[in-house]
Amino acid sequence: MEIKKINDFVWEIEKKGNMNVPCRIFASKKILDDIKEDNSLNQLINVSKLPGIINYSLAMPDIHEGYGFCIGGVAAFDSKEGVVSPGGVGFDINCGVRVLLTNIKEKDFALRKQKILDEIYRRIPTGLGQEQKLKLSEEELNNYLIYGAEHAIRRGFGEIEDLEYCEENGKIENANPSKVSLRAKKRGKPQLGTLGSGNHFIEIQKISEIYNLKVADAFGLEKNNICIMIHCGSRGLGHQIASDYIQKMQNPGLKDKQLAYANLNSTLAKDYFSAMNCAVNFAFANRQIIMHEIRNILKKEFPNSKNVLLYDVCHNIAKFEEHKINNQVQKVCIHRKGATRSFGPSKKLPLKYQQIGQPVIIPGSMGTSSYILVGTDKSETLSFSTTAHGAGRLLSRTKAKQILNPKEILDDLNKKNIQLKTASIKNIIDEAPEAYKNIDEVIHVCDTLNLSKKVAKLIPLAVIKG
Amino acid sequence: MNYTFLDHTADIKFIVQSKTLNKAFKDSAYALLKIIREDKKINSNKVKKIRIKSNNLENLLYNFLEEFLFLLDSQNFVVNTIHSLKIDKKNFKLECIIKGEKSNIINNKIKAITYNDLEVKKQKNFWQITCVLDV
Repeated sequence: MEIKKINDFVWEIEKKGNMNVPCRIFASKKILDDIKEDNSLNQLINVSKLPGIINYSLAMPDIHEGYGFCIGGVAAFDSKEGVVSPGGVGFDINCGVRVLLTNIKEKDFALRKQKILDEIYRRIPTGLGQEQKLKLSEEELNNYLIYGAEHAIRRGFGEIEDLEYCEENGKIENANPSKVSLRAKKRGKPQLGTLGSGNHFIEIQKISEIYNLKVADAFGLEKNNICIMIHCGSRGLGHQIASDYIQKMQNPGLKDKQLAYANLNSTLAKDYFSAMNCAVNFAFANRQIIMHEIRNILKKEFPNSKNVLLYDVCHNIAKFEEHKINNQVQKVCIHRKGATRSFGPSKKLPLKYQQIGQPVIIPGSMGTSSYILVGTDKSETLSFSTTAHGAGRLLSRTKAKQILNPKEILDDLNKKNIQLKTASIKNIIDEAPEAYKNIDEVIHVCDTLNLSKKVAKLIPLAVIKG
Repeated sequence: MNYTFLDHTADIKFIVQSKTLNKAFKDSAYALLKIIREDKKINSNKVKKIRIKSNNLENLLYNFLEEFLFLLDSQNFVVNTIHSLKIDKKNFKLECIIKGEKSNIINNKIKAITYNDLEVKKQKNFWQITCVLDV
């Protein structure tokens, strides 16, 4: 496979054969060498063959092999000729992340750290079997599917002001529960308000470095303040919806079934959107509910503290957006799979961010730094206003188990004074930072290319995993 | 149990090689359950019957394995053992008995069965199944 260098951080696979467009990879040379180790580039090429794809099949610097689309894969499709592909969204529909900022200082927090950690771990179910706080009727579940975070707030899980600081205002339109299977609803019903496991987590962090004072001020970031990062998705509901629709969309002759697609004008595509949007809303509601529980815990320990939601971003979604393409504004169907929207200054953002740009949150892997960045105008031309979403995996879980030692990893976390609470010791190896690409490298590429610009660095003080 | 776990960057891949198709399906389920259970002990307090119908062998396997995730997420039900598994190859139907229990010590990290490299193939002396699980 021939990869052409466009510049130090942009690489291209030229259009040939039945590719409709070339592929573009945003990566450093080192990241590119790692990428060649798995099947990501083939997947990138497969996506470029889909009908109606515009400009490039794109890969963010945290690219790694997924199913159908690679993770870190981005593609925009013409709203008439193009398609929607559930594999381009992922099984964990609206897996995403939000950050709750507080004015609690690290030195004050340190004294209460263990207590707060234990309380969060106790109160927020990480998954199976724990006492379900929310016993939902079908009607109530449907409300969450239609109204998302807005319904969570209606039920007392937060403030109406929270909604503005969430992509899609926490409620994406065009969600129709009748297009969601009973199976999916049964899987999702017991799981609202739960964290899940794998790479989902709650992290208590401190803002350790500020790179851009002006934007940090606008975002309300202050050094040594504590913040809470919540990373999770649509749980079993989203997974089942993805599975249901991949099975319904079977394209004859398509080698990779996971890349199944439907033309955007078809009933099947519209049904998928109606169902996917339910999962999107479920995930928004989920993060809202979890955040609210944490707020209550913080208020109890620090009654005079203030907190505010910085922003909530999706990592796995397909939606219609307007983008300037060849100097014309065009409505496209953009797929972001393991990628984050990165709007520059825009009226589509909350008032206080309109002149600044959208907050972008990129979590690192367990025990490593996370970053807050700001979206840019430049990213529209490069990547349909998209940037990376995380560090991206490097080692398979099998390999990680072979070469990584849980005791060493725990010792390392202890050395950094990071407390870990997890339901599963196996997570420690699976999710060890050595199993992931270097987050700093990923951020460096995003920042240099202006996909999104660095604003602040966050370091973990405690991690809760399912 | 005839399963081996292979290398796959983001997820978990396994391969099963068993003498009969029925056993290959059973061994695939045990591979999935090994990941779910993480060596925790599960009892066989409750018995259920599973009936799956599909339109080809791969989809039959997919739907069969997905049933375990469904039971887990919707009812906290963790399967311990599988019995009397029979596949009607002509009509792509499967039925079996499963024994397990409701558990609150298991946290399901498997998001989905994927179609990546999903294969149910007859080799010379055995049936081979490969499957990737999204974690």
